[in-house]
Amino acid sequence: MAQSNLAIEPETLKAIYGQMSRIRAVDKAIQAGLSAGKFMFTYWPLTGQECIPATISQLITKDDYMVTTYRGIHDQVAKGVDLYGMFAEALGREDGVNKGKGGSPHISDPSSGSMVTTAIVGAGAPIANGLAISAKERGEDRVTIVNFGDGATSIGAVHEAMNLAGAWKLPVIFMCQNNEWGEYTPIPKYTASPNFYGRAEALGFRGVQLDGNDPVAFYNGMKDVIEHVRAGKGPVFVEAKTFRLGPHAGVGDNMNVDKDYLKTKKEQAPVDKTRALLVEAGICRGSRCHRRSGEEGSRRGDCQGDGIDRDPGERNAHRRLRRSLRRPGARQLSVPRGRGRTACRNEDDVHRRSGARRPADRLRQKSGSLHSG
Amino acid sequence: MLDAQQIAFAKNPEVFILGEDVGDPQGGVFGTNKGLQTEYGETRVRPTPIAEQAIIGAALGSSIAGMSPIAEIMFTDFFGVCMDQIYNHAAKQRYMSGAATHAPMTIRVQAGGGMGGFGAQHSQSMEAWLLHSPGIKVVYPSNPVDAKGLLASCIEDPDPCVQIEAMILLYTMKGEVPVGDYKIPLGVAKVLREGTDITLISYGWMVNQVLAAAEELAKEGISAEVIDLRTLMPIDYHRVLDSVKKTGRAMVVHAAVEFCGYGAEIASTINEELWDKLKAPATRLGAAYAPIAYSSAIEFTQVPGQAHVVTRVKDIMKA
Repeated sequence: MAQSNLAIEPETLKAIYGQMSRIRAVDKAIQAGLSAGKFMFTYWPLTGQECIPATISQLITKDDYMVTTYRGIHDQVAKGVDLYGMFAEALGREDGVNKGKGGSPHISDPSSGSMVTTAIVGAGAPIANGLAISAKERGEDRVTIVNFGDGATSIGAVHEAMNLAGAWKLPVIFMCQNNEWGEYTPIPKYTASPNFYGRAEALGFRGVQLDGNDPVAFYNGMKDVIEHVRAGKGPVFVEAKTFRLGPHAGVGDNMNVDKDYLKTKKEQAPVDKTRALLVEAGICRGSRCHRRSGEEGSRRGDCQGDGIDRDPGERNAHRRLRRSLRRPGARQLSVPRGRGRTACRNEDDVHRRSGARRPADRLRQKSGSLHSG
Repeated sequence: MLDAQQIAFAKNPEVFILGEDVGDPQGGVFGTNKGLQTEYGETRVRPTPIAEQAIIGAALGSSIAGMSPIAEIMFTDFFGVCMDQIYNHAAKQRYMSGAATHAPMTIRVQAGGGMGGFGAQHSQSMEAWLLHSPGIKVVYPSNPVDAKGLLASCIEDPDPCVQIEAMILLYTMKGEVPVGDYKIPLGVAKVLREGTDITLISYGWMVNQVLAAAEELAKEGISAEVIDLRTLMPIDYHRVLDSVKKTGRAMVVHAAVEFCGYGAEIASTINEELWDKLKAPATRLGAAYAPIAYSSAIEFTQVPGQAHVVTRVKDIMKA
């Protein structure tokens, strides 16, 4: 392998990519199903923002708390929420992770540390403080990460929460996924102060700006941030620069953006870029790796009416979702093993080869325990 | 209430108070926490910034993690700046999560009114907002004994509870309270005065106006039964309906605006449930549809008092 110049362990980068791939697979499956009319629910796409939670997933455990928003499927997938339960929840079914009463904008799954998901912009931040208070008072070294978009920086709840977290030195990370759009309004239209991370400094605690589309830089930046917070040195506000390739709600492209700009942003999007980096660094071999994303040369097919596509690289995540739909009573998620030994052939391979704990393993271990509530 | 909190603090190390000015030496703007911070320290009694969303959010998050916070909001009028955290988040967490998580938190809040001079933004009764938000339990004591017993139950309840404390009672009513770990179960009303002609249903500081009115009515030969709801949600319809079956007449009295108020809801239920047993339609008496005036002369005419209750009851008896 010839990846010696990378500022990250190859195994870690592979694991990050594995999570990005899972997120991409879920995103694509949902968009395909919605487009084909196979199922219907409101979807707020996260396309383009996969790198942020994928990277964070390699720095935290299920014991760390997470709060996110309705645009949070990527956060849920990376945190380890059961894919079956999450998808059933989005469909409003009784076997959903929250019995179909919350839906995708209100996932709450303490077994994976995904505590609260809110559909009210900015409202998660004050709640995250409370989770952080419990960790601090109990002497636990958990961190609480609250995700929100750049749009949420305008609302009072976020400001109030940041001020309190600073005053009480709470172990909380304000994760601002700056995707350049507050619903349908771009940043310059809604604030004269676009350096969001600077607001933390104004409130007396640390704020950093990181490239949320660059797994290597983001990993190293977040490693430092999480160590800081875990060590009890107070909160950190992270402005993770990314871009929302999709619309505020629905499927497809972000139609509010100039076409050329969108093209540039698509080129900068993290999934393909990270795959290319893995190949270039010699961590994965090209041809097999290349088939993962499914943008080129993928095979698509109608899978028993659920509209999930069959790209080889995403087969396993799709398979799990598909089986979920077919067998509503089944709690065991079936993930095929040993499908090939070629580098990066599929998501499972990435995990197996990297030695990272596969999310699917975690899911299998805890499956069946979600209905106890 | 101080007593209830002291006992809760001693029983459970994960009970803590947070809110504006809750620390010593003042122990809260009404002194209801006096000495607690000195005894238990700054992590158990946490004075906060003036930021109600941050207060309720912090209470909610810690309760989801299993702690038992008591968040103090200075006046019900300030619900307006933190209602999202209360009705969208605290109230709904158990339901939306399919009971995967829940929020065993308590909110203590003071309600102005009946004193004059506090103006339109410190004298309102906003309990109907809470009652219209499924998922929140609400208690509104009318005396010190109930304030202690209900608060103790709220703190140990597995779901979000709001105790509304009338400022006028904090200033004017003193009384002995039972010692030790005394609790009044939520959802149990109390018949404070037995009567045969009409059931007067009330809660909070208005109960005392109603009791005084009942005394006045007795002199004129009208026997009024007075029920103190104590817990507004869940409501003790059992006791209410039983009483009205007996008297055949009912009026709900509250300090909140009459229009779209809790009294209308209760009166409507009584009318539906006991239509054929009523001697007169069940009705309600609340404040006029207007902001509360600063002038006490105006306030005392717009919010029901003893005289208003007496007049209305006489009208009902004539009907």
